[in-house]
This record gives sequence, C-alpha cells and structure tokens, in this order.
Amino acid sequence: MIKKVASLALITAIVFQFAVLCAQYLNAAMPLWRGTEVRIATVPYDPRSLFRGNYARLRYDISRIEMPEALKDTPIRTNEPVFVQLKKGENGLYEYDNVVLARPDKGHYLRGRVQNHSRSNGSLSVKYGIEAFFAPKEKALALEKDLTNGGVAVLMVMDNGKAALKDVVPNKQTDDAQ
Amino acid sequence: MRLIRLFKRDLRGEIDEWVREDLITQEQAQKICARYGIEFEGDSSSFGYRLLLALGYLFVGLALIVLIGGNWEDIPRELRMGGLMLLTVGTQVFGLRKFRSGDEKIACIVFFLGNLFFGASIILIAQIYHLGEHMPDGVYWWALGTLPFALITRNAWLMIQTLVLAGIWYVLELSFGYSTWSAPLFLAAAIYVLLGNSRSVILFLLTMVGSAFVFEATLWQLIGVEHERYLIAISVPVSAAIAMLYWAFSQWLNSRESNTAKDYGALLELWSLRFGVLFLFLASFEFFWDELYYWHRSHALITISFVTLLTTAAILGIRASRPRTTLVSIASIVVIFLIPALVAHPHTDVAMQILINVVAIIAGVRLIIRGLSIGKSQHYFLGIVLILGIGLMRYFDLIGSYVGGALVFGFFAIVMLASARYWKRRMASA
Repeated sequence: MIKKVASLALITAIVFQFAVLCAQYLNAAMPLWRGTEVRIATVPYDPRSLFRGNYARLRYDISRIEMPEALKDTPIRTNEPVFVQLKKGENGLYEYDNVVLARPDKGHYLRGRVQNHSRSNGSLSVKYGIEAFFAPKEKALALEKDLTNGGVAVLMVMDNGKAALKDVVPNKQTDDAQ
Repeated sequence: MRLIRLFKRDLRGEIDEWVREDLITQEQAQKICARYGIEFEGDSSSFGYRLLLALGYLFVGLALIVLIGGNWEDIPRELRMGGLMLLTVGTQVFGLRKFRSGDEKIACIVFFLGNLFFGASIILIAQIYHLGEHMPDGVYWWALGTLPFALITRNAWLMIQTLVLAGIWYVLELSFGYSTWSAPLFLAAAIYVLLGNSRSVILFLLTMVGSAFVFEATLWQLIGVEHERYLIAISVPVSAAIAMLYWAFSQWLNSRESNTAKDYGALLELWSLRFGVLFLFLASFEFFWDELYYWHRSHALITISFVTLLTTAAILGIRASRPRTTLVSIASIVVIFLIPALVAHPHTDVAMQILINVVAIIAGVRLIIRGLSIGKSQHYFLGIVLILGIGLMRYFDLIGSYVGGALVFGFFAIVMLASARYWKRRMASA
C-alpha cells in the first residue's frame, strides 16, 4: 500500500517536472508566436556564460532611463514591474518615450523589472529578459565584432508587454553612414 | 564516545578481519556494525558499486550540460529540446520502474541522473529562446523540481542534490540584491529526510550550515541595508550565539538513545568547537574589536535574536545535563560582547584583545585536558592547534610593543606550566 502511494507520488513528481519544462517552453515561445515585431537599437558586449554557453550580452538605451517627473516622488521597489512606452524614430527603430507603472492602453511598450533605482541621479535600471543572445562561440565572437558600432535587436512583443528576442542583425543605416 | 565517519570505515575493515580470524562470529559482527550504523560485508561491495554508479551518472549529467554550452545550431531547436525533455522523462520513468521493482537504492541513483537531465533541459530552453531574464529563477525551478523526489524517497543523496541547487539559487538571489523567503522550505525538507532512515553526515552538516546562513541572511533582509557598514559588528555576535546553540544542541543529541543522534551530536560538537577556535583566532586581533565597537548601535532585532539563541542554548544544555559548561560558556559570550557595548570607548579594543588571548589560552588548555581525560583525540588536537596558533599569531602581530609581546608570552608560559603541574598531580592521585 505504502509502495503504491509512493509510486503515485513519484508519477506526480515526474509530471511536475514535465509541466515545469512545458511552462518554461510556452512562456519563452509565446511572444514569438503571437507577438508583434519591434526593432530596437542595441550594443552587444562581453560574451560568456558559465552554465549556458557563449552569448552576447545586449545593452539598450532603455536599459537605463531617466526618471520622469511624474514618478520622481513615487517609491519604486527593486523587481517592481514597469512599462516602458516606445515611439518610432526617424530611422524606423523604436526609441524610449516614457515609463509608467500601470499597463498602458495603447501603443508599443515593453514590460520590464526594476533592477536599481538611484534617487541621487534620478535614473532607473530596467531588465526586460531580452539582454542575452546565445550563439555558438564563433558566432557570438563574430557578432560582437560585427556589431561594434551597434546593431538592431528584433523583438517580438505581446499585448501585455512581454518581449522575446528573435534575432540580432547589423544596423544598416550605421553601416551605410560609415 | 561516538565514532566519527572516518573511523567507521576503519572499524568496518577491522571487523571483517576479526570475522576472518574467527575472533568473533558473523552475528556478533553484525551486532557491532548495527551499534555504530555500519554496513556489514556484502553490503560494503554493493555500497562501492552504488557510489561508482552515482559518480558515473554525475559526470554523464555534467557532460550533457557542458555539451549544451556548445550551442549546436546544426541540430534543429525542436529536436534538441524535444530530445532532452524525452530523455528527462524517460530516465525518471526508468527510475520509477526500478523503484516499483524493489530496487530503491538504484532507483534513487537513476532519479539523481534524471534530475541532472531536468536541469540541462531548463538550461537548453533558456539558451534556445535567449532568456536573459532573472537567471536564479531557472536554478530555483530546478531545485523545486528535484525536491519531490527527495521527499518521497527520503533519500539523503537526492536531498543533498536539492539542497546544493537551493543553496546556489539562494546565494545568487542575495548577490543580485533580492529579498527571498522560501529557503526555509528546503531546510524543512532536509530535516524531514534526516528524521527518516537515511543516515548522512553530509546532509546533516549542510542542513546545519544552511540554517545558520539563512538565519543570518534573513536578519539582514529584515533590518535593511542601512546597517551594512556594521556587518562585522552585527554578524559576529549572532554567529557566536548560533555556534553556542549548536554546541548545546550537540550535547542534547549526545544524550539521546538513538545511535544516529549520537553520531550527529559528535559531529556537531566538533564543528561548533572548530568554529569557536576560529572565532578566538579572529577575536585575538585588535581590528576585530575596533569593528565591534559599533555593536551597541545595532538593530533591536539583532539583540532579540542574540538573547533568544543563547536562552535556547541554555535550555538545551541544561536538559542535556551539561549545565555548568553551558552556563559558563554563555556567560562568557555575554560578558565578551557586553563590554564593548556598555563601555563604548575607542580604547576598549586593546583591552579586549588581551582578554581574548588569555581566554583562548585557557580554552586551549581545557580542550587538551578534556581530550586526554575522556579520550577524545579531536578535542586534544584542537586545543594544541588553538594554543600554537595563538602563539604564532602573537609572534608576528605583537600586542603593543616588544615588551608587551614578551609579557603576553610570559603569561602563556605560566598558564601552560601550571596546567602541566595540575595534570601531573591529577595523574598521581588517580
């Protein structure tokens, strides 16, 4: 009887592990299936990871943003979700427009989490889950070299602001200017 | 006296020889082994097999994780991911079949491997979909996914696997500056496994060290970062109180009927004494008391914790029939930490340094005498290490001037020679 209960519990544990993997997969893939494409400028740097292999770490202009006047007196905790609204620039790439704490009704926006809030210089560090681009070692190194002057991150963004990184490509306008 | 793990291996070898030489019978050998929780004869070969199998599986898992790091884009992502998920589920199902067929020990080793594949799958999904999100979350789900296997089987090695992963997750969270409150869940699970039939000194030590670390980290989260500059001043008294509590707990375990409890007690006593020796080494320097000068500015919560830990230690020590040693040790800790708090004078540090050096030498002598009188070699060697260590440190780092250093060494010599005389008299009267 005890053995039977233990076996059933173990089956549940196996199902739980499988469910965790499926949830992680769906959570990662959903923006790619149902999201809208948004292109944003980025600079890759320092490619390496102990666990997950080589990757290019991506830095965006929206990674560190100026605190808007409307939020200057609002207490913001570490890890608090924020919504960064984007506007389309002249070069066709999306740029920072505004940051709000509640989900906006319209427009393009990314959902991120506050990493650091510095009241002294009025800046906000935000992470969006799109800061790493994994690639084989040679490709990651080549990417860093090719995109020294910046590249374009191709994002897929869902209605709730969750973004997934689809690709990183060279910024043609920067390359043409050179 | 309980034998610690290393000596048990020697004892098992000796018992095997005694049986071969017909000094004792098989039944007697089994009874002796049962008394000290040792696996006898045939069991030892199967233990070796299981150990090698577990180590082999560990390297299989590590090889897979490293291989994933290669990021093979030539293989379609669906194939990579599907293959690894299938491998995870397949391995766990194979472990389940072994478990149902009654081969529980092998089943646990297979679950251990399956858990490594589970972690590899999490890493692979994060890599394929460029998940740059909060990295400790992945380790947390890995630890959480392995936890049910440890709880259901109550296997020590599966629990150690979970605890190590939970430890990595916890340290990562803290290093990123996040507050986290679910670590006690894993520690409670470890205690549940320890209360079962699994006897594991590694799991016991991990649980004890993990509990102390989580306790201190939780205190820091509660009092906030504004006290960070008083890290030494606040952490050291709490750490000393935890070590005292652990020592009292070890005495309580020693007073239990169970052989396993006595084994854990012997181990915990040894490690809490080692921590005490380390504390005395650190406290014998001037800078230590210079920092501790700020102890009186600490948060009320730290003082409450300090008092609660020592009160619990006193109750345990008295219940374990060691009231004198317990109360004298607690009184010493209270006096040592109360002096800088009450006096709060910048010149207290040199006086405290001298006091601690004297206390360290007396503690060293006490350890040697106790080690010799009750036959505990660890106590004896710990006492020698303490005295020689203090002597060596004071040689390089003199208290005050050369004259001050010579006076300290002269005092040490008087204490040692007086102790030798006491020992000689005691032996003569015995």
